[in-house]
Amino acid sequence: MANETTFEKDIILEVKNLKKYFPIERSFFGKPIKFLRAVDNVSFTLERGKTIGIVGESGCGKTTLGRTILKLYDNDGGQILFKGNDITNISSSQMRKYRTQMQLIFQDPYSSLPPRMTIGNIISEAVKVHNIVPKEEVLEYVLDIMDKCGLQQSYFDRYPHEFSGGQRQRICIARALAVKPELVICDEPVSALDVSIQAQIINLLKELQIKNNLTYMFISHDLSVVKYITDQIMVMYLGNVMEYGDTDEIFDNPLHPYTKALFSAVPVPDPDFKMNRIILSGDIPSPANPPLGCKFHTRCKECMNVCKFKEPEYLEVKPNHFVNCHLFNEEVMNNLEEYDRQYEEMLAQEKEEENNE
Amino acid sequence: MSENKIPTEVVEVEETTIETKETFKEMSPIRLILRRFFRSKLSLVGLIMLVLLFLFSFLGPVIYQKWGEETVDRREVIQQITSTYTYIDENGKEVKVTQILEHTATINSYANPSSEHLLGTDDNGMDVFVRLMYGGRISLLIGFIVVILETLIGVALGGISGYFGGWVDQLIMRIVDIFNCIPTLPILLIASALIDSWNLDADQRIYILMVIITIFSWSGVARMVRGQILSLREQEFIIATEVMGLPVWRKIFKHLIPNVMPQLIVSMTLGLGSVILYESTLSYLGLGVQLPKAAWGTMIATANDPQVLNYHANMWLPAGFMIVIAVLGFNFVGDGLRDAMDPKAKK
Amino acid sequence: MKVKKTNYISLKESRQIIKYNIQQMKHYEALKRRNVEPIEYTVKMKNPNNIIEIDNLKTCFFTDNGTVMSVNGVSFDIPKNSIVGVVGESGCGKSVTSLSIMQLVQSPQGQIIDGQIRFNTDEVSLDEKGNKLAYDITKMPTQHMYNIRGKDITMIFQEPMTSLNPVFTIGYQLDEVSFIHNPEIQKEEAKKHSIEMLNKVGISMPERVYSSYPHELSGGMRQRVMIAMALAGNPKLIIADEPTTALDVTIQAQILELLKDLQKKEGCSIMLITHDLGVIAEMADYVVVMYAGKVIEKGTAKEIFHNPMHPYTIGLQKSKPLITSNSNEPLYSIPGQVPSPINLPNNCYFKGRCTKCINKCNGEYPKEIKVSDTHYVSCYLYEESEE
Repeated sequence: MANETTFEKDIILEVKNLKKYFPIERSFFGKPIKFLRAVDNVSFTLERGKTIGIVGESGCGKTTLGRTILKLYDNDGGQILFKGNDITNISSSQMRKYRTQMQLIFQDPYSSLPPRMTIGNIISEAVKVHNIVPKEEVLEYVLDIMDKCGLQQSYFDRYPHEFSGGQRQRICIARALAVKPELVICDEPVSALDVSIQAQIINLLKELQIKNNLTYMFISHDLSVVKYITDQIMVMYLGNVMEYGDTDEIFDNPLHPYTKALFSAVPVPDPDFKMNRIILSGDIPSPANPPLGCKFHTRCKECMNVCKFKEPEYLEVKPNHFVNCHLFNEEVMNNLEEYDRQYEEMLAQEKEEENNE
Repeated sequence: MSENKIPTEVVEVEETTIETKETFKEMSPIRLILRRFFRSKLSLVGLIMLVLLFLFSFLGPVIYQKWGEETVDRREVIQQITSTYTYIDENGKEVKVTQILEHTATINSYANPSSEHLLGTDDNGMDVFVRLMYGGRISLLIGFIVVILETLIGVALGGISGYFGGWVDQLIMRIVDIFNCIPTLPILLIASALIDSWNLDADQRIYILMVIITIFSWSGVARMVRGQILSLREQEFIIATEVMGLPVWRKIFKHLIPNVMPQLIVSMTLGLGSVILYESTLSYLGLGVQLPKAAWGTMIATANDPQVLNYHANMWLPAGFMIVIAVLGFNFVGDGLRDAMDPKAKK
Repeated sequence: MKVKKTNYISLKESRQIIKYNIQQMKHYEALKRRNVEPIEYTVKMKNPNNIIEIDNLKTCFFTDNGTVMSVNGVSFDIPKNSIVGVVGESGCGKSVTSLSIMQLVQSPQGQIIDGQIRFNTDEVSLDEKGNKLAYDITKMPTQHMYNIRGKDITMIFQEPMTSLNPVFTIGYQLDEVSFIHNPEIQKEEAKKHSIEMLNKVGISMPERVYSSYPHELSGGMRQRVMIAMALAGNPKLIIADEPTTALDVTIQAQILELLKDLQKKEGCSIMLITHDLGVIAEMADYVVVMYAGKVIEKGTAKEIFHNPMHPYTIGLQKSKPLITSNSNEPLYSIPGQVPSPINLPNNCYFKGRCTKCINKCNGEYPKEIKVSDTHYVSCYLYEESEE
């Protein structure tokens, strides 16, 4: 059985219950007493050659998730398995072995390139350090990569400031791909670019994925791009996974109220197209001070009493479709009255405490 | 009417084949820096001041060899001191008395400016003009060495502090704090007395002077480098080096330090001015360069004698003027460089 | 030593540019300082139902690299009581157009060198022939512009984080607007007005927001406050420069809805500048597509989205994946990059990236071709249909 699954699925990355808490308040002796739960109990698996999309609004922890997987931050719980190896608690010197296999593409092509190095040096630096190819072949190899990423060879001796955003993003991609990675985490790679350039970069990423059998983790807030490029999708809200499953399934049949609202909010470039828009009221709560119970309940259209104090369970509603909502938890839905009663009790208790004070 | 005009088919074009022709040229980074530097007239003035200063101090003594730094004009001179009094005698008449005192001095001291001594001589009969040049040499030399030393220490400690953070950072920054709050002048006075008692020769005293100035001025550089490195570390291209798995030394020396360089150059230029000021202060207090070596501070110190202050302005005023020129020049150039190298100041 | 292939200006060229710039800037600054009588900048409106008519506007920046023609002969109208969307990529001149309307182009480098911006105001009425008169903003003295700026024409910026002053409360900054427009107003009245404004933009607890500082509010709230400020003077035209780009999708939906509602209620016009075609489709009645400082196509939203004609407009619409489609084909992408706006040759600026070039395209810049009463396109492909 176990053999069969490994044969069928070549899982490159598995994340189990990953947590990343940032201390935001410390006691006098430096002991953290209050945390910002940037990533809270996130789990997913990613097959080789596939793309997972992480979507969500600002402050939902999608960037932190990417960087925690790359071990740029220490995690506070859970496990990261890269190609079956547990890299959760290994030292940074051990991590260097995996560095070339996992790469990151940044959002801002302006600040992610060192301003005082030529394009050739930027791309070849890590190649030389990690001996990806023999020394005498480095130049040829780098020119080849540049060519693949749509950069002219004459750019080799020029500096980043001479290029436009799209070209710079190509340079970033070339730099990441030069070390022959297997997993590439793309952190909003196109959101800083113009529309006509976005399509170029997305096509390039897709083309390179097929050529080099790359696995992408695609972090973005642009749902139309995510829908286009990904196989799986994970919707995050304030550090929690709200919904996770195959892209087609999630877009055709979104279950979580937040996912529905998010999808309906995307403007469609067609003046006659009238979407049944669900306009969420209010703002995203501060991640430092999230609401009790379900984190989304303050803005949810289908909020019940149970949502206000009980955290929902992360359940597999359909095969490969996970939802984090009470609406799809039979146990909760069958006992709604019981939970309403509990809620009343809780309110009464709170009131009493207030009165006592 | 227009409907049949809509092209139905769009031809895919190979992206890479289209080379964008550049229709315009842009300024090279060096030219851009120069342009921004010279936009302010003050930096041009500063630069001219500094060039003249350097020529005067380093080339001057080579060309004008009439007198050496420590040569005393030992020609005998007959000095006449003429003084006139008026007093009223018993008859109520006003009487004017002119007293002429003549004495033969073995050295030509306190000479007034003349073609022989362009700025006269000092109390030891040494040529003030020539000593001004040598004083400039010493000041600039001390300035450069001290600034390089303090920058080295500052970059090393500030870099370690900013890069590694944690308790190392805490420790180094608290040391910086301590150095910042030591009252400089009293300590220097005590040190001055101490060093006097060691009876060192003039050259050794210069070395000690450099060490003292360095000790009191590295902390500013360290703090600046730390701040820069902290903000650079948040930049994505530094995170990229981490993702690339580059070794620590490479990250520090190839990525962090070169990006601190512009700020370092500015702070070094501004630092030169303050070191020269420092050196003059110390020399004035008798802690720095001592006779017979020339230094601007020691030359000003001659004004301690009220006679010199009143009647021989040529002995101390030029030195003061040179200090002003040097410090102003370095500050103007430093400000200009700051404007030129700050990437944020585009306009 | 290998000689580097560089593309830098030589010292001689650089000197020439700088000399030219100084001369030009002096010329235009001198023009501005002149004492101008209102009669000199009173012009006739083409159509009294327009609030703004931009006619052959040219705004350029004299930079060290040469003269940048940011806006190069732009003409379009903003009718009363409508939303006009201006769409284009970064650097296409859409923001500079709006700054020109506000007379906020950064001088002395930036100058309006040609064209008219006719602003239909109640201050001047009809001339003897019954034509509606208007003010030409390009020639208007700055002193007079102060009366219009922030009152008749207001602006909402992209960054709600930085466009409010962090050291004053929201209430103080809102009251200030009232005081500027009506110096006699009492403090209580101003406060009442401000709270009313906050209510209008859908802030549920206006009293609390009134006394809070900008950093206590979220991005969406701040943008609402900015809208409230823009509305405070009962403007005729609101220029919204990428009002939702910095916001999250769900908040963007809220703000767009709000803007649309307010436009209807207040009866003002909105000039909506954005690069997001989706936002334009949702909001705008008329669309202006800009590229490299020129208007390449303009028309009603339906015309532009259902019958796009310029290859650039077509490409722009195709290159964005749709959330409503399930296609897995490679995206259509416009090859190449936006040309640099310096020393552009006098032929179609899109030529280098266009896949449908014909021989004529090597000629000079194509004229505007009328497709329908509202639909205009600048492209040689459609020239014959004109004849």
